[in-house]
Amino acid sequence: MSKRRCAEGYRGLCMSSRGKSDKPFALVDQGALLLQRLRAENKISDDSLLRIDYRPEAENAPFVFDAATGVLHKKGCAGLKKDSRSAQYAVWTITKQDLSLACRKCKPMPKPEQTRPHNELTDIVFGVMSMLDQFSAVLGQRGKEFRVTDRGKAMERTFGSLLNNLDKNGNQGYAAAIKTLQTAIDSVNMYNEKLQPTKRKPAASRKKRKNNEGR
Amino acid sequence: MNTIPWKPSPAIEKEIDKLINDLRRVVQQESDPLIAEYCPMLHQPDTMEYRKLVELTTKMTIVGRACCEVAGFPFDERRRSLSILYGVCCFLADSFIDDYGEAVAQDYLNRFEILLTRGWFEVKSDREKLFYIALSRMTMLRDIMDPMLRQAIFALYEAQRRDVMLRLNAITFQSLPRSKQLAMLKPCARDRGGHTIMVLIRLVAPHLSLDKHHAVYLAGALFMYIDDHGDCWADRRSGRVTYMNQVADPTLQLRTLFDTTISLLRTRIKPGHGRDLMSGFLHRYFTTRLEKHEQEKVRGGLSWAVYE
Repeated sequence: MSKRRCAEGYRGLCMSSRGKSDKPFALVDQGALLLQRLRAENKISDDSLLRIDYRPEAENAPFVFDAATGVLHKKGCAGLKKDSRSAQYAVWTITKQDLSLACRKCKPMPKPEQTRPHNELTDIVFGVMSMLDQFSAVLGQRGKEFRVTDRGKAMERTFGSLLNNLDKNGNQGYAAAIKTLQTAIDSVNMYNEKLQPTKRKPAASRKKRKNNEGR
Repeated sequence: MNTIPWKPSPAIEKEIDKLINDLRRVVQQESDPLIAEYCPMLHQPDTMEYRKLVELTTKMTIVGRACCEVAGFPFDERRRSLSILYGVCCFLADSFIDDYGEAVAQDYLNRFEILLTRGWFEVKSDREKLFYIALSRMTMLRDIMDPMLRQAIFALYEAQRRDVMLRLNAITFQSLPRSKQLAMLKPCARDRGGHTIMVLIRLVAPHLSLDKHHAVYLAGALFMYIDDHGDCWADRRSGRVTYMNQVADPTLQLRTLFDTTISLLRTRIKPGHGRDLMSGFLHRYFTTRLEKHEQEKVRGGLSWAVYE
């Protein structure tokens, strides 16, 4: 893509004097509002959508930066001031440059091994799955309605002919892609199983537990 | 007027004049379509409220540019858009908290907390629609999941909530000793201004080093003290208690805060155009708000202040 096209493409994403014709942003705007409306009308699950609040993660960070005093502490340092608690930020990694801010009591040092947990591929897959799960009712209904429209029918025909017209190599590639996807889904399922706090008990033990609870 | 120890150079003064005019025009060009589409009631260029929105957003854009330059990044179109969107959000959030009474402020804070903790926001008016759209557009232009940015946004929310709670519990608050009242009010203003600029800096220059964060945080706090001094008489009339309208000699106190903050900025941040722009604009803000304070002392809390 040329520089000029890049710039124009970008301009489409920020606010411009073109206003209503700013299609990319208009779509995002409508999508964002629709999401909130669907939730308000109880058409989608009320589960958490996105959490900005970082307090649960901040608990595990090894350093604290006091923005009001400009001092960097180890977590739990006695030198952390109470009256600037509301100005303190959890910090995961520090550099040598930050040592000029180090608290003289706790003397924080860079720890290369302790870094902020990053998103893994599985987190992203789970993210996509959670979105599909949360919006499955709406998506399913939309899919059913769309399928019977002219555009939906045309698309169905296109998909069908696309699959039929795949040559031998294409078919092999398609099969390999499906297999890879299946392996990924199996891995995610296995991962999910391992993360479950309790596994479903056999019928006999469930019955036994029920009897115990009844006592 | 008394002499001010530090003054920007005439060249910076001249540049700030030009920048204010240029950016004010850009702010209007970029935000007008958004405002007209989602909150037409606010899109009336002759009204005081619209002019306030433009002035506050212009301020945010100038500060955003100074922060970018301090961090060594160009103030490109994306960063300018982020500053403008954030300015619009700040104007609207301040109005929800300050302009429609305690019940509206409390209701907005409750719903905003749900937005920050779960992602859901019940849009109740066109103003809130504009606020929500500006927020969602910001998430398109910057990784909103940056840990420091997430902490700054939530800390700003908590500072706003503390401010509102002080107003809601005015009777209990007034029964406290004066020294304790001031000890509560000062960090409240510091955090509202400090976290406001922390959010801005994480939006436009997320890789700024920690040592600069401290100086910028205190610059943000100074903006809030200056704001509160400018609004002193209007706040007193509406029964709003702030550090700057309670302290014994507010002008002297503000001068001291200005001197210490400028001194810190000039120690912690390397010499350069970004630092000169930040210090110069703080000076402009300081002097124009001192004048506003004096004018309102006579006129009674209704004068209009821009940056010239």
